[in-house]
Amino acid sequence: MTAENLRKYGVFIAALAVACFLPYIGISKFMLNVIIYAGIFSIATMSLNIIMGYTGQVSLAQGAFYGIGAYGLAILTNKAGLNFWMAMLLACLITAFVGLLIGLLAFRTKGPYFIIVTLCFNFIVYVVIKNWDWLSGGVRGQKITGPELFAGREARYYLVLGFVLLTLFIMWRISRSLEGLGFMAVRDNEPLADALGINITYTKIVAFMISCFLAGLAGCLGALHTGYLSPTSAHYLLSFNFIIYLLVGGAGTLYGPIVGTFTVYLALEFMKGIGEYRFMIFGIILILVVIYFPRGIVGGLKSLWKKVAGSRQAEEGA
Amino acid sequence: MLLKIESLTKRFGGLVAVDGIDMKVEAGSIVGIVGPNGAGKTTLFNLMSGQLKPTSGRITFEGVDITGSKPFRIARLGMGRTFQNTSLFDRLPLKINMAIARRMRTQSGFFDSLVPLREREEEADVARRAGEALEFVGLAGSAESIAGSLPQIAKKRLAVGMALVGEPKLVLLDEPTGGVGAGDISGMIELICQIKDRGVAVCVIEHKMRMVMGLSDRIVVLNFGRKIACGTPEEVSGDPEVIKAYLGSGYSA
Repeated sequence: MTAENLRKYGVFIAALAVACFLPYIGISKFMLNVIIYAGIFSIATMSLNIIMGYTGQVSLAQGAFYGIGAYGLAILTNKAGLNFWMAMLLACLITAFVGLLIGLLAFRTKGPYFIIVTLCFNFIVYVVIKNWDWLSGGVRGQKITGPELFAGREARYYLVLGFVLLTLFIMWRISRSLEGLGFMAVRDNEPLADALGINITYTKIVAFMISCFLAGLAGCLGALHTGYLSPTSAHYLLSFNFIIYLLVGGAGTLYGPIVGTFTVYLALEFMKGIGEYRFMIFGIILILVVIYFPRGIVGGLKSLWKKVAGSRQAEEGA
Repeated sequence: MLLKIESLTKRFGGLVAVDGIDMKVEAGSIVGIVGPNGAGKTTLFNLMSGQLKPTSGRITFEGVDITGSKPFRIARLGMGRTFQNTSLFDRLPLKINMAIARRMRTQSGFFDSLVPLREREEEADVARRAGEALEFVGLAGSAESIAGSLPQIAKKRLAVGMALVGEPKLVLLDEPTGGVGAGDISGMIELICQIKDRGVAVCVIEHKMRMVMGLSDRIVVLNFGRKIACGTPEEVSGDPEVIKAYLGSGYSA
């Protein structure tokens, strides 16, 4: 293995190896629980990365799509009595379809206006879920029973790990495909992309639908793991959380969403002892990251690596 | 006739930026568009390539009515362009810039990226054509460089290459030598001639009169949004109205 490959895949392989044996290295039930949630949220953050990191459209509706996936799964299994896996696939497809409808509407606006439209949509979804008792169970919420196989915590851990890897694979493919080129063109220079024959609206909607499908998937997994759903599963604060995870990890990078989600989510869990003060500390860290590492932890490490490698080459050349 | 423009008009409020212009571009020819600042040259380009919708008039490209069409549709029909301010994907490497410019000629969508069967072939084709286009504009050596870090002349050349890589029949070049050092101008002229040699028609906006006169098959002169003259360089440079409006009495052909 060359040094280049070692750098590229070494960290990933090491992390994967640890992840494979994680439930059996003596970590507490509480810790495993936290890690499962971090995994689920990192799928949601990756979904945001498609539309925000690669296509440049900041969506504050990912919390709503997370909720639509979760409630879709609950309603399809509880009320329609569908098979769990069937219901899960259908819930994700429904989420993508809602994404299509919202996209057709919201992509008539740009920049800050798009953000506001998506935030409003998130708010509407939250209010609807809270008040449509007959469908969602309202504030009482509803229970979800997953398949027998995933009743245990360890089994759910591996299920989530599998879906994290699947999502990561999709992200990896997109980031180096022709479709991904179109996304990046729209992100970096819309008028030029348009002049070069790229259908802007179509590209944005495709990106948004993929993004919503994956947000819905995260919602399904969240519902399965919690076993219970309340309207907070579609809360707009979730959308803000996902944005923070993505910014800290690095928007438009492959591993950024996972790194960011685990860093922030775990840090906040560990700081629970100091109560609400943790958000103050966290707020300061966030500001520093945005100012000094505009491309997040992963982006920052990448440029640091480039500098180190560059100076090493310069030394060798001298 | 490749491109035909009939009594094209564009108003911005009370201002008539382009006023009833008729113009034709023959396949494989070079047409120079000249005129003082604010004459409506760039507005005319923006109308042709769809960035602006005309107030009235008609534009046909290869017999297809493209009046008011969206830019990406016009680009796909085979009209490429560059921008006056040299618009690029500044954060991305040159070869990625080229690949994006070729994207419209590929079919692969999201599902092809997951199961890359058709995608593999297309990616190889895109990479080959991107390489050829970089070679053509003389930037083959900096395929991995970031576009935003290039010097001005290289940026202009890259923009021309990106307009060409989608195999257009007509390219619109908006001031291809604007902001370029005097020593680099002859190279750009040579490049424009090579584009013509490939059978691609060129419409070029230029301020440097001697350059346009030497380069163009036909010249269109604009002033205050109106076409005041058109014809071969010899005809135009002898036109008294052109001399009065633009060239000044000191100019001799």
